[in-house]
Amino acid sequence: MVSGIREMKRLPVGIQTAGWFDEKDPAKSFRFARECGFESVDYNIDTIIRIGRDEAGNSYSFMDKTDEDLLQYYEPFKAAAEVNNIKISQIHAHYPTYVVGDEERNAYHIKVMERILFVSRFLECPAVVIHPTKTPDRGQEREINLTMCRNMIPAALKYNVMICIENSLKRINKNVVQAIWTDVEEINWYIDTLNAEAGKEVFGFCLDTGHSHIVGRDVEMLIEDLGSRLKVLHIHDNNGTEDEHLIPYTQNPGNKGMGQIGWDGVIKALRKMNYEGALSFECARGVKLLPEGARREGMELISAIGRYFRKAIIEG
Amino acid sequence: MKEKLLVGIGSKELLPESNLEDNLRMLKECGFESVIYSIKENDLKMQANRHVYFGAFFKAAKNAGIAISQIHFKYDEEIKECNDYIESLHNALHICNTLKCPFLVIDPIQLKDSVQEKEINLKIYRSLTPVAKKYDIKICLINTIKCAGGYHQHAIQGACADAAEAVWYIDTLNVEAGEEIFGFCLDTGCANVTARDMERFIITLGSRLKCVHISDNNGISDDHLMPYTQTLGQVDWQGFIAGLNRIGYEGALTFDVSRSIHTFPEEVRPHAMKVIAAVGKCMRKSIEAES
Repeated sequence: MVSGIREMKRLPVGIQTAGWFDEKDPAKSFRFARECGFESVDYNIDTIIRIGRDEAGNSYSFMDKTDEDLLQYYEPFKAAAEVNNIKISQIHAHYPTYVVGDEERNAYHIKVMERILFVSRFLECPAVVIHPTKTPDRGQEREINLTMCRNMIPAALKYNVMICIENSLKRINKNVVQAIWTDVEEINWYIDTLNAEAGKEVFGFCLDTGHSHIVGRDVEMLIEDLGSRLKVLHIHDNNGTEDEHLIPYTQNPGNKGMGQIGWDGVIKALRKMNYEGALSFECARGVKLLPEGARREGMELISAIGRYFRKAIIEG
Repeated sequence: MKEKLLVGIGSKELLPESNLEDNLRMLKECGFESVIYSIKENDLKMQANRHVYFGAFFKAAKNAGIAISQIHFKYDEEIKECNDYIESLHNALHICNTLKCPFLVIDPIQLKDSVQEKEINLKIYRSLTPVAKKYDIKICLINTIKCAGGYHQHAIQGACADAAEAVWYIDTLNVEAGEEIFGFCLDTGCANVTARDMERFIITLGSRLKCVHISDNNGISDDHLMPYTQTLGQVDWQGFIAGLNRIGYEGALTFDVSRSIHTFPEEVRPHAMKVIAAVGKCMRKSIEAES
């Protein structure tokens, strides 16, 4: 295993940083996370990278900083996390990480990924999550995604950080439908193929519970079939028709054709597969729906759900 | 001085009879200041020594610092005998008095024939006027939905779903009573699934609005969910707050979300209730701020 996932406390309860984290004041932000009951964060570095293009047509972003400048930027971030006993369980990379037909930009994306992996190493974060590239031609799609992932292997090995591919969605006639990395056979094929090429376990999976639910997948069965490839989670709920990123248990489970995720099944499968990674919630929208004065309570509710999940996974 | 806009929650499903006082204290710790007490017709029949039972509830609530803002009486299934039903409602008024509760919310009866529905509802509510006067209790009608049938059981408007109809009932009954005995309880969930304009509904009711039952849904089924948890079809909370501000509403802000709370695992429920109480306090602040 490349990463230090197993060195972390088993099943830390985490939250994505998007939506509440103040990048300019990490001390306050990590203290808030701890006060709300969280033990880890999914750092949304995607929200600050902001890739643009200058007048000469060259790409630029926040990640162009030198090693020294990046370390200087992230030192207070790391210190604040440590003081508050918060682990960075995973980092969410920018997306897209590949643009069909734009080789200048694609080379730049790989450079940005290398910088993210550098930051991950510094923050002692064991996993970086990436989205796939989606194209209408499945053959081309496979080649593009394999190439994209292969190009990340050297940096992943250098910094000893795992890359987790995430199940995704696409829309046809405004309807949400399955996309690449939705079905377990395909997911496992990608991970096993890429790891064999890397000669080491460099790739793993990030299961987005909401994305699976919305395309009608049995999340319990998916977890079991992924087995030890499952490294990180994006936990959130929806009504089965829109990718809403809501707090688990807030939808009516009895609504015909809609309803919430079968959380009992998710817990059962994570227990069966001896999952040990973070229980990381990606519910920024669910919190943001609440009036500002109730958002702290919303965050506390999420961490309480996480602790319940952990207890149920460990104790059955 | 009477406290305004107390944040409350439906108590019946949340409070098993064992450790009543502890459970009421738990509600207080979660941030609630009042409760609705729901009674079904059968509960009354089964509770032989009801004055002792409800007296104990009153004492426990008082000790916990929780006000009983209203009693909600619901008929069980089908009303077979109107006089028996009226007797049950009289008993509910007595319980209201025992609990020193100022409002009794009674669902209007629903019939296919709207003329007959109005006649029977007027007969029932009229019969309560003397006892309500004696105890100084206000009786609140409430907006309802009914099922259109079919596979999806689509919800459609029931009795008092229209503000104008509600106003007619209340004004007719109050004129007959010679004083303000009747008022209204707005159920936000029922209003939402029947696509009512929340702000306009509240403004039409004006000072007749005495209580609210707050819950959210997706605009299709009356799910009794926590407010601000829906991305599609949720209640127009901005209109709700603006309407309450405009009419100078002073009653309780009571959440009728027991189904939503029971969806959470048991040990997580207090945290869900804290979110609801916090939402209630935000609503209160917004209603007061706009004044």
